[in-house]
Amino acid sequence: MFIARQAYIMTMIDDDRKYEFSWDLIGDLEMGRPNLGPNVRLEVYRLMQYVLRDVLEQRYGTEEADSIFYDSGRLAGIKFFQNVIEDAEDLSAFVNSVQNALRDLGIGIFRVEKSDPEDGSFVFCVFEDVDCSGLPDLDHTVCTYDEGFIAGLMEAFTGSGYDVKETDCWCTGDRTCRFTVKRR
Amino acid sequence: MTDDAENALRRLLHLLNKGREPKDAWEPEESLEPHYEALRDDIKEVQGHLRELSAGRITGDIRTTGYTAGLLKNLQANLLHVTWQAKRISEGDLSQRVDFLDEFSESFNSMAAALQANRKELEARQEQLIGLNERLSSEVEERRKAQESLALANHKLMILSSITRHDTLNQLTAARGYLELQSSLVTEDERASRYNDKAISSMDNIADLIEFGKEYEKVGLEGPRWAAVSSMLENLGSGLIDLEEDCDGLEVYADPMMDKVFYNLMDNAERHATGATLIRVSHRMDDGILEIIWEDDGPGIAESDKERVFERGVGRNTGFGLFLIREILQMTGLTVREDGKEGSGARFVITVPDGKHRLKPSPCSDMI
Repeated sequence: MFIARQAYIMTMIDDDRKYEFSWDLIGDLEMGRPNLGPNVRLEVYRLMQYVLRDVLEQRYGTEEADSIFYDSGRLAGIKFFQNVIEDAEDLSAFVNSVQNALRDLGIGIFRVEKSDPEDGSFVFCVFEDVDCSGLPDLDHTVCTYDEGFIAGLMEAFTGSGYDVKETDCWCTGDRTCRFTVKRR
Repeated sequence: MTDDAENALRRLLHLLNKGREPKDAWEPEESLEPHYEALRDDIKEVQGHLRELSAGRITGDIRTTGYTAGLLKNLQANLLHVTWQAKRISEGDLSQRVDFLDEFSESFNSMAAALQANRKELEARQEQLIGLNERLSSEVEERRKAQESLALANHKLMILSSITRHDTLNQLTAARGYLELQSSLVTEDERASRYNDKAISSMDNIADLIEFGKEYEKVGLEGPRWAAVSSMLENLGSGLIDLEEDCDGLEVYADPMMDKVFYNLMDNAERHATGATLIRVSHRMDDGILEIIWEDDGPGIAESDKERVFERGVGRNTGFGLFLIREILQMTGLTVREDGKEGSGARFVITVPDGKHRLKPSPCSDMI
């Protein structure tokens, strides 16, 4: 899975690609939506996410679909850090900045339960997560994109790679999403 | 509702309210048993976690799922988060804020903001102090340099003055010698003899002035120091007048020439207190102010001269002795006055302000 993900990342820096992401693709929202503004209903976001996962799973299988989602989240986390998160000198400043950004953009309420920077291990929580809060109970966690997103944020902040795993999720009957974060 | 179902509800209610199942033996019917046991186990687990949380043990692993367990996990996550934030604050990071926890957020955020404001104020004050300290250090350094320059200039002046004094006295001694020789040759001429005597007297005055200058230039030359009064009173005078004192352990903060004060007072008494046999030196304390009293049993000083005796050049000898006393004393804020009664002896009172005197337990100590 790791090798497949690396290969996927490699393809993303290919100069000849059609859809290589850049922050410009977010667009000029003020100019583009003078009347409707920058917000869109959460249902629309979830509709896109879950049908996309459906199709990816049908075409590539569950594991590969999850892998694609994780890597997408990781890339988003890196880009988000570079474009939204303020320069942070230390962990506290980083956490503050992430908390503020996630709250202000309506992504979720970010909280830290544990941090051991020397060991490279953390436990983060996201309340009212944009991806899963309010979903029906399932027998599995669903915030794979968020796992990647947090891994990308941490990677961009520290310069080291991280593995992130969701241990509690709204969809497993919990009211908050809890992520264990471990430096590779 | 069947008796069995009713019994199950009663037992679960008992468990919910009492924290334990009823002690009586009971087994649910087969169809009810899995539901009863699942509910019972969930209640027990939730109660167990609530017990841990209420005791402050917030790190337990809650494995149960579902709405109620989810709320517990929410609570646990919030508690863990504010604990983490409190730790950051204890490490000095006062930027921590809590969102979406109602009154707790308000209180926590107000506290953190107040701490942040206080720290900012303290930092500003500290910066001010550092600035003041730097200015002070710089001023001290400037003063030190000025003192060094002054000391050097003083040293040069003293050398110059010493050489001049020495050579002038030599020349005076020679001139006086010649005048005395001349006096022996002009005894027939009364006027010439009188002029010669006046010239010799003037030369003696010049010699006295030079001697005074030698003493006066030492006043204030060195910084003040603590001096034991009794030590300064030892071996004063030629023995013509007895001296009694009660100043054991008493020390004054004065110019290093302080011993000259008592020397001159004794010299003054021996020269002018005709018939005096005893000098008493005593002290008294009044509201932190010390008075050292020097009294003799001679004829005393006339009312009209009580202040004049401290003026330069006033007196039957050189006229510098008492003037020098006042000059030495005033270097550290000490004063002297004469308040004796004419006919009952002279009485000099030296006033030492608070902070410029102390009592040492040891009987006597030399100048420190």
